[in-house]
Amino acid sequence: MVQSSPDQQILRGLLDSLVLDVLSEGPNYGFGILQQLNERLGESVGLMKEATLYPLLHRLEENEYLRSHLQPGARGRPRKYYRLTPEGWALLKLRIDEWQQVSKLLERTLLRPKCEKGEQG
Amino acid sequence: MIRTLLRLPSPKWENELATGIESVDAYLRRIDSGLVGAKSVRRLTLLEAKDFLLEAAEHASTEQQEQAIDAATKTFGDPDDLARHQRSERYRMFRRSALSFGLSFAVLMFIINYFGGLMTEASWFGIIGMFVFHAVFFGTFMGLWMTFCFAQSLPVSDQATEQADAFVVFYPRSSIVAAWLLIVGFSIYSLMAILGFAGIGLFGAGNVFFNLMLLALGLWLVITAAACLCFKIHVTESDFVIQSWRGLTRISFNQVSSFTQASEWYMVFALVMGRAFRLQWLDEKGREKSMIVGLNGELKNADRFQALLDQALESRKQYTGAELKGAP
Repeated sequence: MVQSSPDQQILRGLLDSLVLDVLSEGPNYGFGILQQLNERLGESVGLMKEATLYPLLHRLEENEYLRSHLQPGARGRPRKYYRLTPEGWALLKLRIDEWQQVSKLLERTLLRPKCEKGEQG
Repeated sequence: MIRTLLRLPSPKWENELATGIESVDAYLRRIDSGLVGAKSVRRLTLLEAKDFLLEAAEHASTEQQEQAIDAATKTFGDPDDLARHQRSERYRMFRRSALSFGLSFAVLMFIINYFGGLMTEASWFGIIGMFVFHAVFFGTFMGLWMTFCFAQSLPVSDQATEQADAFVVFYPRSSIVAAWLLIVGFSIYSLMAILGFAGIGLFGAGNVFFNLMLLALGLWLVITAAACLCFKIHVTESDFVIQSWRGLTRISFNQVSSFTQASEWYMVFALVMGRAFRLQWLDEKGREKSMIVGLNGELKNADRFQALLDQALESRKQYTGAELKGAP
C-alpha cells in the first residue's frame, strides 16, 4: 500500500477545505470549481497539479459533505452540480478554525520577523 | 471477467458520448474501459468527464484547444485512477445495499413465516439457514440491481413552458409500465392472500397472521405503485405544485420551512416509493403544514428539485462562507 507523504496529506486537507470554501458561495460544477480555485490560488496555482478533482469531489460526496444533482448546462449538456450539506458546512467551519489556529501558530513561531527571534535569542 | 459481467447488458462503449474531438474521445474511452455498471451507470462518470473537458476546450482559443484539453485531462485525473475510483465507490455501495436490503428482507420473511405458523416444526438450524438464504439471495439481487444497473435519471427540460428555469419532476414511461406491472401482479397476490384466509390456494397453509401480513404487503405495493401514476411536481423559479392522489398543492419556495429525510418507517406509512422526505411550510395564513414526499432516482429531475429546496432553505440560514471566516 502506497502511503502519502505528510506534504501530500497537508495538500489534500487544504484542497478539501478550498473546494468546500468555493461551494460555500453556491452550487458549482467541476470546471467552475476549478476556475474558482485557480482564481483564488493565484500564483500558488501549481498546488493543483498534484491534485485530481474528480476523486476529491466524489470522496467529499461519499462522506456526505457534498450533495450533487444533474441539470442541463449552458449548452444543454447534462451537468453535475455540487452543493454543501449541513455536514459540509460544519466541516468547513471546523477546517477554517483549524487553519486559523495553524496560521496563528506559524505567525508566532516560524514566520515571526527575524529581528524579534534574534532579540529573544 | 467479473468486471465485464458487471457491465452487462451493454458492455461496449456508447457512441452517443463521442464528442468528435479525438483526444477527448480517447480519454473517455480509456475511462470507460475500466468502469463497472450498465450503460446508465457508466454514463454518469463519463458525462461528468466529458462536460469538464469540453468546457475546458470551449474556454481556450482554437489554437490552444489541444493544450487546454491536455491540461484538463491531467487535472481531472488519470483515466485508470478514475475508473479504479468508480469501481471502489460502486463496490462499497454494493456492500451497503446488499447488507441493508438483505437484512430487511430476511427479517420481514422471518416475521411472516415464524408468526404465520409456517416454522413451528422447523429446527433453529433450519430457521437460521432460511434467514441467511433470504438475506444473501435478496441482498445480492437488490445490491447488484441498485449498484450496477440503476442510476439517477438524467435531467429533462420542460418543453411545455417558455420559462427557462421551469421543469417537471415526473416518472418516465418505463417507470409507469413497471408501476402497472406491480399493480397487476400484487393485486393477484393480494387476492391469493384473501383466499388464503379460507384455506384455499397457495397461501392456504398459513394462519390468519400470515395471510394478513401478505395482504398488507400486497396492498402496500399496489397502493404505492398506483400513487406513482399520478405523481408529478411542476417547478418554477418561485414555486412548485405537487400533484398527487390528494390533489394539487401549490407551495412557494419562500414558504418552505424545512425539508428533511424522514425515518424509514414513514416510507411504509406514507405509501411512497424511495426515500421519504418531510416537507414543512407555512401557508398564507401562517399555519404550519407538512406532507411526506417520496423522491427516488427513477423520478426525472428529482435531484434538481431537492437542490432547489436546499438552496431556498440555505439562503435563509444565519451564516455564510464569509461569516465563517470571521468577516464582519
